Order: sequence, then structure tokens, then C-alpha cells
Amino acid sequence: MVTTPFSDEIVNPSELRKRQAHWLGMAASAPITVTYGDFKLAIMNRDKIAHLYKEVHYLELGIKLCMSVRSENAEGPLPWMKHLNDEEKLEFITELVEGIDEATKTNSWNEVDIILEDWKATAETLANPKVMSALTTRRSKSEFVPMK
Amino acid sequence: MPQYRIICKNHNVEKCWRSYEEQMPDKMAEIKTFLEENPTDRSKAPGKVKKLKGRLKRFLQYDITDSDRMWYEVDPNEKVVYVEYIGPHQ
Repeated sequence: MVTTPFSDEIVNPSELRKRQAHWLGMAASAPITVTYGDFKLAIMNRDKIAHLYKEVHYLELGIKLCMSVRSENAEGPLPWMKHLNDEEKLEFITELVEGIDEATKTNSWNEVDIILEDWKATAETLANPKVMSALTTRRSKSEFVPMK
Repeated sequence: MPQYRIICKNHNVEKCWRSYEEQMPDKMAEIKTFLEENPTDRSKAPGKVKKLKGRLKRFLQYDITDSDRMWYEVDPNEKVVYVEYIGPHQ
């Protein structure tokens, strides 16, 4: 059962106008509902909304990724993943799911963005033959050029 | 006093570095300082440094511009940054 983020605080516009500071102060910590005709509108902390949107976005991404791997769909939601081998795909998805799990507890999605950026850069590098040739060629001391 | 020495893998890499340096001297000076001081600390260059994964986990990538990248490896024991390749990413 999904619990609602909304409290039982329901006010009408007149009440809201009358005690603005009180209700807006409350809305900073928990959403309040304002009735407006047939509608029920909510005033809530912008950071909380941003968090909810990110949570939905990344959970959707996680689910789509798992489904695409299960159905062996080469494209999936992240087309660059096709450049990863099977072991790397598993490593990426495990890291991403763990990152999402952690972010839902801490409300910090920065680490999830970093996981995605790092893996995308990895996949793009793997897809670039020139760079791959350079990275897989052993370094030779005799060719080193120290920067001044 | 720099913490790390920067070594280009070969003359081609050094040539590329110099070419970028001519085109964007300030940016390349900034990158040089970053590599000499904190080559793995992404907080010192937010959004620009990527730590590669999987088969490439030894390498880091610095986004010079939207389309140009630098790939490097850090030896923390020897305090050396090896610049492996500089160029367009596609």
C-alpha cells in the first residue's frame, strides 16, 4: 500500500487568506490541501516535489533497464549500454540500483547522476576505436614526454 | 609546488596538448593545475571529470569542451598522471 505524502490539513481559500503565515509555515514541512471548487490543490515544499520527481524518474529508469535486460532488448532506455559487455551491464545495473536505493533514503540524487555519467562516458569511450586503441596500447618509458 | 608530475604517453599526445593549448590557453592551464594538484578529486572540477568503469576502470576522463576529451591514468604511489589520449570523443 502506497502512503500519501499529504497530511489531513485541508483548508479553503478564505481560511488560507486569513492565516497565511500559519498555513504556509506548515506547508514548508508537510503539504497542505487547498480546496478550490471541485479541485483539491496542494501547497508543498519545492524541494520535496523535486525529490519526488527524481525518485519517479530514476525508479522508472531502473525498472525499464531491468525489463530491457530481461527481454534482451538491445536498445532499452539507455542506447549507449549496447557498448558494454554482459559483465559490465550487470555491474552498471547493480551499481545503479544500489545508488537509487541509497538516494531514496538520503534524498540526495547526486551520486545517481554521477553513476550514470561515469558509465555513459565509459560506453562512449568503448565505442571510440581511436581512443580504445590508445588506451589499450601499453605505455613505453622510452616514449614518455614529461610536461613542463 | 605540484603534487603530481604530468607525463604524456608519447609525442603525439604532447603535440595534441600543445595544439589545444594554442587554441584555449586558459582552459588548458586550468586543466594542468587540476592534474598537478588533485587529478582524482572531481569536486575540484564539477561535472568535468568522469571515472571510467568496467574494463576501463583504471582511466579517468576530463571533458575539455562539449566535444573534446582527455583520458588519463593516475599512479598514486609514484604521483604521476599519464595522459593517454586527447581528442574529440566521437
